[in-house]
Amino acid sequence: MQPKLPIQCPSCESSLSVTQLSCSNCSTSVSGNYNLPLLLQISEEEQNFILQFFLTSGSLKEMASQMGNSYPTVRNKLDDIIQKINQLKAK
Amino acid sequence: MKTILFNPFQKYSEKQLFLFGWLLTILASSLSLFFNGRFDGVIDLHFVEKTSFITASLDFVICIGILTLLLFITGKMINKKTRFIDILVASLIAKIPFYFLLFFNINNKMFIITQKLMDTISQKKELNIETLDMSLIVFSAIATFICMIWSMILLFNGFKTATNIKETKHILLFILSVIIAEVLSKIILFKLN
Repeated sequence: MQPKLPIQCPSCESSLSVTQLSCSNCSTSVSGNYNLPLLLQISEEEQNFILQFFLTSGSLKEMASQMGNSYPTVRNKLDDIIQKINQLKAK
Repeated sequence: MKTILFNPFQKYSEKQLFLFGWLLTILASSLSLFFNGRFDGVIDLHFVEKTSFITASLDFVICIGILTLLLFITGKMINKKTRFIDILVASLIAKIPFYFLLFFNINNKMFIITQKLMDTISQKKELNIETLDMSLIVFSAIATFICMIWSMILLFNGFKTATNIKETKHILLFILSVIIAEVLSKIILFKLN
């Protein structure tokens, strides 16, 4: 099972940030305080949606047929993600 | 099953829904000739003594046309990405529950009963309706209520999918548009008749 990247604090639900990165080859670790990139701050389902959007060259019609949903349903989902990313950007 | 009955707009493409809705509309307009039913309003069905092909077709064109046009204008005001085809499909599909009600007028039964009831009321005579007829009135009233709710759920879900509405004020705008469409279609059909 692929572990899920936590993006929210399980205690207070604030956004989490990266404080340590390490090299799996030589075990070097870097410490600091880095904010998560915008695309990592959205849910896994939304990340997969964006990935699929990219892989279908931005064709919502193709995405709709692949996902078994109608065109407006897929377009609404994209609009909701755009709105969410804009809100995250504004923070 | 729940999606097919109440929100087919989520899953099925506009082409599939348009074809299905259009075919059923043609079928219902033919059936309305046979059962003497008139869809003379956005959320209306009345039984008459005799209906004609022109009247039945005009009812469908006016009612679906006005509802589509008003909801499309409202949809465009809410969300610029609203497509005409999605609203048209919602209007066509939302009419389907009403088509089942046509079968209540086999042999003009429902028209005769309601006419008898209206005459009794207007002439202030004593109510004299058979138990079977009364049961039919009650059953048709319940069925009409269920079909009306089903139709409104379909129309709302179709509009919601087409416009991506979330706010209460947008829901109120939708309700207002349906009421205006009902009043307008009634006035136009009254003037045309």
